[in-house]
Amino acid sequence: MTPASNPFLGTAAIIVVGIVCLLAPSLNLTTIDFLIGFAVYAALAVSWNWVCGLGGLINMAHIAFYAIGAYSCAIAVAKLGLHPIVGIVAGVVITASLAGIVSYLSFRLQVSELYFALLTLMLADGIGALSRGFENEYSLGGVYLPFVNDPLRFAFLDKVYYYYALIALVIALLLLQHWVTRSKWGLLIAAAKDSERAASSLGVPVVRILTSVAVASAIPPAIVGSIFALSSLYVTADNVFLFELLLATVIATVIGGLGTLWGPFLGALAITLIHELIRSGVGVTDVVGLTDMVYGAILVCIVVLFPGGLIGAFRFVRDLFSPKPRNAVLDEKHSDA
Amino acid sequence: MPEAPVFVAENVSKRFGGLIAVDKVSLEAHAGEILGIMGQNGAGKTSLFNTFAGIYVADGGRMTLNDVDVTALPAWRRSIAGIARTFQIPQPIWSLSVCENVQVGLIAHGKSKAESAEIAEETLVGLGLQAKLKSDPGDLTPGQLRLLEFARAASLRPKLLLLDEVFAGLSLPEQQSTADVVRKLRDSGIAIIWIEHNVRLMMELADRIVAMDHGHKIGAGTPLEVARNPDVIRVYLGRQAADGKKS
Repeated sequence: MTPASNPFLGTAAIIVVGIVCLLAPSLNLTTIDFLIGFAVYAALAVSWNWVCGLGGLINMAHIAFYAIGAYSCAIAVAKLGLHPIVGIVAGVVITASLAGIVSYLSFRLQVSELYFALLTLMLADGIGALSRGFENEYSLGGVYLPFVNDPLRFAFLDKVYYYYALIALVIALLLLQHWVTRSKWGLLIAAAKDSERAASSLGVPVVRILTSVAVASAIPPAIVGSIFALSSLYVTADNVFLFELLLATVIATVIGGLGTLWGPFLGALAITLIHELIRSGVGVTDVVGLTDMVYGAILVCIVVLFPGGLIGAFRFVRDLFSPKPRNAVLDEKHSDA
Repeated sequence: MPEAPVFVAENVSKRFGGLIAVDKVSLEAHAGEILGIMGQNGAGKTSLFNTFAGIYVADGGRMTLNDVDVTALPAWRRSIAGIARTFQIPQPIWSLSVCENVQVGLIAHGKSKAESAEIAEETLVGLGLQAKLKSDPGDLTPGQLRLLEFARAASLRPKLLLLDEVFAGLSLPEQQSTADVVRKLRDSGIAIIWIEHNVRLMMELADRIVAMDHGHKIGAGTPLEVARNPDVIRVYLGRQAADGKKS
């Protein structure tokens, strides 16, 4: 948690993101879709990193929060005729409340880490089943949003604006994490995560701190879900309760570097690139599932070669070119690359 | 002589299934005194501490801090109320530096980050850890880890300080500097309850001693009184020694 910073990666990322944003209007639809996919993964991974990497809680309900955000926005716009902001706020309030209640009760009942993971996975599955049930009963085929070109209602013909919204969200999340980990809260969160007993004996309200982390982590997926609803104009249980999306979120966070600032961002970029490169190499007629096999093999290689995540590999390369005395390395041990 | 009791425990009990770890123990800790708790392994000393600190919920009895009932308060609220403790097995926050480990408690007690850094540094320097401020706890020796544990609790300037074998594993110079800090804390008006296996050290530092055996309080008084208590002698040296003392 020592607030040593590494401006190189941050500066490089900001420059690359800036250039991509400038070039984005001239890019074709496939590239825009690729960028949107990356930004979705990045936003989900960065926020999942808060609850898992910083808070130490394996919350598998992240995908349910995404779906709730998508449904809230879609229902507000399509069924109730409200402004999308109402749906976004509703999604945020619902997911934050749900995350708060589940986390608080779990801590109070002293549910262990693995059971917490199972509990949240079942919660996500339960909400998914409930959504499918309602969909079958009341809204066959999901919720369709009206097709309009009204920027004031966050409705754009050009999908590049949704990329801008998502990448702005990612940057905001990274800035927030950067600030929190260097604040008093950062120290309290680290203490609550590392040793509940020691932290509480020092006066740290562990349950409150970790519940607040779980709540904060649940909000971004709801916003991402809302943006998905507005950009795809169609929400159904089958396109928002995607187990693959949860898996990609977890993989991006872990292979990028759990608990670090830039790790999930790098991880999201890596999995998007790897997936797209393999798919373009193998082609669309991948009848034997070669894409997934190669994708899995590459991920295994990354995990084996870089146990600390891609951010660890980055640090290794950086240190090769700028060797530092032992104390300086120690100072940066807990920095976010 | 010590003033009014800061901390009062009345008939405090703690059970684990059929095992009675602490059985109706009553004691008082006064401002400006060191109350030693002695007893062999399994006597219930650490369970008593965990119950005082709120890590365990008491199965019976009552605890007050400056006449305020703290029995139902969770550990973190007791800390805020003024009870600080060290652990028998040091429990550093491994992901934080040595200085940040001390800062955490101060921040939880309302200090700003800058204030907490200043107090943490001052406390650690006082304990001879000035070279380790930015180190990871993993780089500390077992003795230094105990000092860190002590620094975290002492820096909070509590009303009641619970020290669990804080001298174990320390070198003689470290024991001396820590003893000096403990005396200073006592002289500043903090009530200290101290578990220690080193009887010689306890006789030297403690103002009063409570002896425990199998969850019971078997003796209390000044170090000399406890040293002459037949029940304490029986537990430590055996029945024959106790009978010899009586005769």
